[in-house]
Amino acid sequence: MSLDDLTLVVRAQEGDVRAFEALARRHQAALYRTALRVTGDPAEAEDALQEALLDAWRHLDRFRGDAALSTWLYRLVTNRCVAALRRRRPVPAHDAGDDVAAADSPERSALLDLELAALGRAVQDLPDNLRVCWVLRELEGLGYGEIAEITGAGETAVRGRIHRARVQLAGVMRAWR
Amino acid sequence: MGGVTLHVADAAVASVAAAAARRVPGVVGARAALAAELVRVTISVRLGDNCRDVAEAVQRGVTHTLAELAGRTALVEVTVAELVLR
Amino acid sequence: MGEIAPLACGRDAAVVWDRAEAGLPLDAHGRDCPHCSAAYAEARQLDVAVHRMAEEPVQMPAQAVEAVLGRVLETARSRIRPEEALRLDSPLGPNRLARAAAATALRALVDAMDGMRARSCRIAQPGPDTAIDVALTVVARLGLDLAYATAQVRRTVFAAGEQALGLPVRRVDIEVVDLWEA
Repeated sequence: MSLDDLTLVVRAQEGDVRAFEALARRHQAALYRTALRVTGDPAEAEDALQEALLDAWRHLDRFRGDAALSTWLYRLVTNRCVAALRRRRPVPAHDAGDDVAAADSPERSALLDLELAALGRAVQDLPDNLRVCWVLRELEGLGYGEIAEITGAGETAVRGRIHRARVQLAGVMRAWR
Repeated sequence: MGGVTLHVADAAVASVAAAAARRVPGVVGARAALAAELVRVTISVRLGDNCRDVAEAVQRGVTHTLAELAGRTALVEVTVAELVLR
Repeated sequence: MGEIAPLACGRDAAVVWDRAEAGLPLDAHGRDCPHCSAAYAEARQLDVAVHRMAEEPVQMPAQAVEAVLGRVLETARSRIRPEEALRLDSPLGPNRLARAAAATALRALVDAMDGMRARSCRIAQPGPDTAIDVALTVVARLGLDLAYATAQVRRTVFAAGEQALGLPVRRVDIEVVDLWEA
């Protein structure tokens, strides 16, 4: 029997671990995908997912049903991602990009990969705050309002960051071609 | 010369207690820990069995086993953490 | 902060980009304007690659998912604070029943009933004995005979308290908070 998010949240807030498990299972794929696209590193993404889920359990009482649960969870995981990015020792952009390409390679054929790999490296070269907004908009398909809620930035700032990210990416891809 | 006192390590006592708890009908899972002279046993119970009765049965079983094997009179507190569909 | 530099023709670059991303054509000015057209073309080209990236399946292997969930749920289950437990009677000294476990069991009973789903289940044990007060909020199917259904829930909770939990039930309050259409 599948229950709606709000019912599961109320139960989980009252300590029902199985309800929390149902929520975790429902949302984990989107959270991991976001974390991987923001950090570019599968191990860091897995860590961010785990920490975000633990954050969710510990602070479920802070979630008021007025916003969507997914928005709140996105915020938790992007916070963890940004913290992970800040902890990194500065790595020359190309090294970090190569790691990402290698980690993703197994399933893809070499030819199609080149452009996608170049775009992937370009995304990882974006400054953290631009990257988060861009990933949430372009890869997760979220609206400006929701991204503003997730990042705590104003909607105008979000639009600005996404635009600057697009311009930077277009520039890199133009040079690559 | 007095009797021989067998000293059993706390971790072993906890292990024995958990094993004894698992043998009680209705118990689906158990773990135990020692806090001073108190043995805390945490169990999962099959949904439908009477929690109060199962908890009391675990208390008796653990107390009996510990007295027999380790010669300890222990105070046992059982916590039913979960009710499980089996 | 957040300001977008206009294109050389004065138009808002972000608007041009948004139109390109949405697949909408340029307006009359844009079609004749080399700046808008260039921005538009660049946006479209990037968009193709971005769509491919968005469509790429990105998943953790199932084993890794289970491992993460396992660790998270183990932490969630690990410790039960005193205020989170109900007292169980025993001649050998008091035992405890996790409040959340009891609530889950009672919710499951409500869920098993036709046309009703439990949402909140609050259990109070004011004392001095082990008797409990249960307050449930439920969602029900539109058209259900609510008086009959809630009476049934009440009976079931009274019985379950005694038989399954081992706790006498003093009162059961039920509030229907939402209705759904079949």
